[in-house]
Amino acid sequence: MANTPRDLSEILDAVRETHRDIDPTIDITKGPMSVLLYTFSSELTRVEQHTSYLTSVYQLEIANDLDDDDIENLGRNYGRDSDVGANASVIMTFYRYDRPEAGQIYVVDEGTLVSTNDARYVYALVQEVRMVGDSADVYYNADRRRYEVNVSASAIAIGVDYNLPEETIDNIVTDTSGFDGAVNLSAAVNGRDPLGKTEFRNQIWEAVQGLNSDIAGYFATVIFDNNGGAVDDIAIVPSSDLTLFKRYPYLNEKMGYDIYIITNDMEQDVQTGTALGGETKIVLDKKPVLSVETVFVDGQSVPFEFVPDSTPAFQGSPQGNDHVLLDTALTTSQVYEIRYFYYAVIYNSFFSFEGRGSPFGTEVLPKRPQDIPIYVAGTLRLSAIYDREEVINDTRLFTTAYLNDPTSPSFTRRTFYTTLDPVLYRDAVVDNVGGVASFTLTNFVRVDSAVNDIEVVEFDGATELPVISELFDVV
Amino acid sequence: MSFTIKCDDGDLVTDTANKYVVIDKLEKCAQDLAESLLNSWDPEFEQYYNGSELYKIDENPTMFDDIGAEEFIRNAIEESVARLQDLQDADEFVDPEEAIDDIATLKVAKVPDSKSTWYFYLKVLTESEDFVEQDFDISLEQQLPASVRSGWPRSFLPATLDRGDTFK
Repeated sequence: MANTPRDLSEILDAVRETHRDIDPTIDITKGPMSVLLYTFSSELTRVEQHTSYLTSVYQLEIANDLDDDDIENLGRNYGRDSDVGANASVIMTFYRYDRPEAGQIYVVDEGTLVSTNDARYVYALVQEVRMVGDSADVYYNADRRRYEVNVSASAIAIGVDYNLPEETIDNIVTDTSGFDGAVNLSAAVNGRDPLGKTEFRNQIWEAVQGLNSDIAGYFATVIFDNNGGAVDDIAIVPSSDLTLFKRYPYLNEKMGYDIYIITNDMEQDVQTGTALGGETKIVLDKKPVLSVETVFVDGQSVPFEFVPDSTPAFQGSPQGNDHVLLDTALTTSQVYEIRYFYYAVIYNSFFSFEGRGSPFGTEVLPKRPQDIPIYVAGTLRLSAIYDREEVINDTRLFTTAYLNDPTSPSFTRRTFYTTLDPVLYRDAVVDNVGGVASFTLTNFVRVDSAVNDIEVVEFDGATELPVISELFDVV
Repeated sequence: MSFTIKCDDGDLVTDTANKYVVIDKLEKCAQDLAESLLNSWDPEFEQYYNGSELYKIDENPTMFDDIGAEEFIRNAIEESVARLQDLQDADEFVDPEEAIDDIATLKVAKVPDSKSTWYFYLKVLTESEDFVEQDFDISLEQQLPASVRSGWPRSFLPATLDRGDTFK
């Protein structure tokens, strides 16, 4: 807490007292000496207030008391800029119900605007999207019985307000032909407001801690600051961890760090190129890749297989060998176009570390944790008044949330943890899912390493991410 | 014994050695009295009360009435003197020659042939039974404190009398 500055009255009293101690016969209550002391005291008051303010600046206790410029300048000393928000990103699905006609190409231009129904929240496509009539089958979604093509869009303004749930952005603002509609089948994420003073103060604190106290803090600071709400959790595996660190043969520096990032932030990229001739394998530029949507060669859709890197050292990382395999080799000068989604946070984090050189003489590689399938089965006994399907669905949802974070089940945020206890899980279902009278587990295991039907499931807490594999039924 | 630095026409007075001149007793009383009459009082910070009620003159509607004007000026002067007396009472080092005992004479009148200029003559009795005099003219057409001016000798903030024979 900063010192409380004295006001003019207190300082004037103190100055007069000091003066009386020196010579009590000099009249300081009236006349020129009074004027002088009043003048000195007024200036001293300003100096004392400023001194107290400077104390506030370096202590940073009460951020709101600081001038905008001062906290900005302080933050810049640590490489932080408070005036940074982020535009939400969303994947829009453009669709048409009629089969695309052969020979036709349906195009939606980059910059096309889409919005919520009330036109309040507007997003712009960051890429051109094309539906090629000659390859209509690749766009067909049998579940929804329509032809779909996905494209990334970005909110036209920064802010968390643009982080909207799925199926809320369904209005095409810009005149567009060839499509019946557009909708976001996944939530818009990663919008961020500019930091308030207190948040910015916290970042400065973290920056100082990250730079000075430990290397993990430094990594966390860089990743969280650059990606904000797009990162759920991170875990750091140093090369001194002989069990979990997988890159020993590839290390050039004396130490290495694998940074495992839990994120659902993905972006679309379109990779185009001209074949030299004979290629059947095309390595994707931006990794790790989540999925490959389409591969076109000379404007025609071609069959392909997406092959993610599966080597322990590089799988799920920007240095992985994620690629597509084509059934037919390309011939010279053929032009290919691959549309795919990749984990943007992991890809960008890799370059944010590269841009800073190798921190502390280390090699840093952000990675995506490996999915670990969890098989859960059991028998639900329902309370009479509840709808069977509804309870099953609720139980599935709760189980997903529970696997995301057992200590605080969440649909939106996942964390690293090390233990899943079947008894605690069963009790949590009974306690939290309405309509469940009792719940008897029949299976609760890691699919890849189970020795019993029900057992305490363990993870390494850094490289493994539980995902639900199968679920139970009800009697 | 209570001292202060001598002022003349708002400036601190120095001697030939360039040192400030220190005054006490009757001369200090005259300087304090002039200052008290001339300076405006800071109503927002009462600790700094070198002031005078006279600065309120141009805000007072009674100024358009001769009787009201005289009464107001008289009251203002009496309050200024009373405030100075309060300060002197709080000063344990004040001399009898400096301490004001009472107002001996206070004459307030309009300057002959003038519509809005007044003058007053003030003589106070000190506890040493000496007298100290001040007189000023006041132009109601002007803004204060510039409207309060000493008659003779000329004085301004902080005010003093610059000749030894101006009191008593």
